[in-house]
Amino acid sequence: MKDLYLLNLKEALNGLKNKEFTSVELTASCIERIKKVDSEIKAYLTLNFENALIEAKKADEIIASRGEEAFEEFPLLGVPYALKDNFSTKGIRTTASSKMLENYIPPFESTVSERLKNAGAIVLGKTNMDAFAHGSSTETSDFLKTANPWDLSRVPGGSSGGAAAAVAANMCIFSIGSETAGSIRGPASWCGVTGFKPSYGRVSRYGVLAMASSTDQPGPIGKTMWDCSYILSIIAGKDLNDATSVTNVVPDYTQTNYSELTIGIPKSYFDLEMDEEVKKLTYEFIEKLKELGFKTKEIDLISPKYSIGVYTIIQRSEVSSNLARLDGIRYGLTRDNFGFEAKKRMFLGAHVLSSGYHDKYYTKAQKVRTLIINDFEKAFGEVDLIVSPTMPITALKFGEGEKNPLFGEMMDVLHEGSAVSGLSAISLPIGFAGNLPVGGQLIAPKLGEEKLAYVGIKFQENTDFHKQFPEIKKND
Amino acid sequence: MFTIEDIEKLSELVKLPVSEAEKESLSGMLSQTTLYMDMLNELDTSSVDATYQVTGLQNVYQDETLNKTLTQEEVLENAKIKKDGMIGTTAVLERE
Repeated sequence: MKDLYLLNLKEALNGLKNKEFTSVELTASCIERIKKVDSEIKAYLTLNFENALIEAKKADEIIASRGEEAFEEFPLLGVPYALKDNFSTKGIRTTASSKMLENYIPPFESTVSERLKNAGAIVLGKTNMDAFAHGSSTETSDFLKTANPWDLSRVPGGSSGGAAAAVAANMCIFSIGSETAGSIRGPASWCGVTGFKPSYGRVSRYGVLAMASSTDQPGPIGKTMWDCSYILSIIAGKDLNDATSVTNVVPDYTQTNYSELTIGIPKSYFDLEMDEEVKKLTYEFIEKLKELGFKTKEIDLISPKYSIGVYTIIQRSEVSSNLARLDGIRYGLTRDNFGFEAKKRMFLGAHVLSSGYHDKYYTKAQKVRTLIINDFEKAFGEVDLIVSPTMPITALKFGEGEKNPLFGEMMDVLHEGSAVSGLSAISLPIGFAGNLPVGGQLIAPKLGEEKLAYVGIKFQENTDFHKQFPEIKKND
Repeated sequence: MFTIEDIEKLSELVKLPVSEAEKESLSGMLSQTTLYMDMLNELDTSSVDATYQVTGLQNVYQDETLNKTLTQEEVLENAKIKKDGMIGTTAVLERE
């Protein structure tokens, strides 16, 4: 049998149910893997090994006494995972990769990690990210530079870079990230794994250190689309602690079926400046979807170049407001400890919200947001899903993004429109440009997660891009 | 365009101290950013309303019941200055 850390979630659950191995063995295997390769990758900021093994032992006792039936009550019983460091964990340091919170130990638990805990999942550790999720490379972390497991001289993408790299390097069975515009899809694409960004409101934001509250949304990063769909069914749903969480019934996303779906190809997305190889692989992705029986149709969408301005204005405004609470009095350090990226964002946010500029920028952006929402609604009258590359290019070398003040926003140009509209989307591995993975994006209407799960699972049943994992080459 | 004076004014608004070098760099970077923001003027928005939230939810209420809450000890755990069950802050009023 292959090493346990290599298992995906479905395989891990089957093995635990059939008592082929124990949760302690599975957890210890992931811990050994982390000890072996994380000195090169630096995906984890805070480790939780001791507690993880205690939890694993408890899980084994439940499995021993109740057998397979235990998994009905605890659908993730004994499965170790990695959690992005902006999810509050009671008793475990939570920094959002910012020096501001380097000593912060939350007295409460985020809803997502609480639901995973109640389902029997085990936290291996907290993963590195762009500080306060401000970025698309994970380089703005105040603590670590996470490397892309496919090429250690490159970034993993961001802001959930540690979470995606931990999955790609097989240092967990799955991970949890969060997205404001691209922070799940982007790193999933650059690390060659699967990312699922749910509709705004589908998953509770309670206990997630806020970036831009009107688009923030947690979601899974996994080794397969089935895994991500299974996890989403567990973490989604109404939460009294988040008034923006929606009440719609949560289905089993692994059990969906559609007889006919049409996938839209937006010309304006493919007209953007992008890597030729990425574009070519995306067209091959579309061909494969056609082979699998899906129809395609060319559609018109407003150029995503406008979503850069809309997203920048909305996000900076919400960032400046959300980070105002960090005054160093109740928790955290004083405001002079903010990194430059956070400062830059708060300055612009304060500017666009200030008297004299509010209508010109803030209100204008929220109006263009309406245009983008209406535009998607019109498109979804003709098609069920929309396809594009996830990222315009493959993973960059360290330091390449620093010169551009809008680096993150430019990298996320293919995500911002759907993010400000609250839509759901996935990134699937669709091939390689040289040795670097490329992701394909599918966007669904609000609460269209079932369609994404259906197409994603079907695509992966017929391809093996998601089965490729990098050999971690140590730097001398 | 952002002048050094603009940056100094914003620094006070967001209560963030910045060095001289940061002032220079911020004025350049923020000026560059506004190019993308001004691009929005190419689109006619005269007939649409602004969207501030996308859930469609309105007036979300819940029953007024006793929920689990943090204890006083838990609330104080991360505070730097604490005394008699309270969080200490720096003085805002001067003593005569």
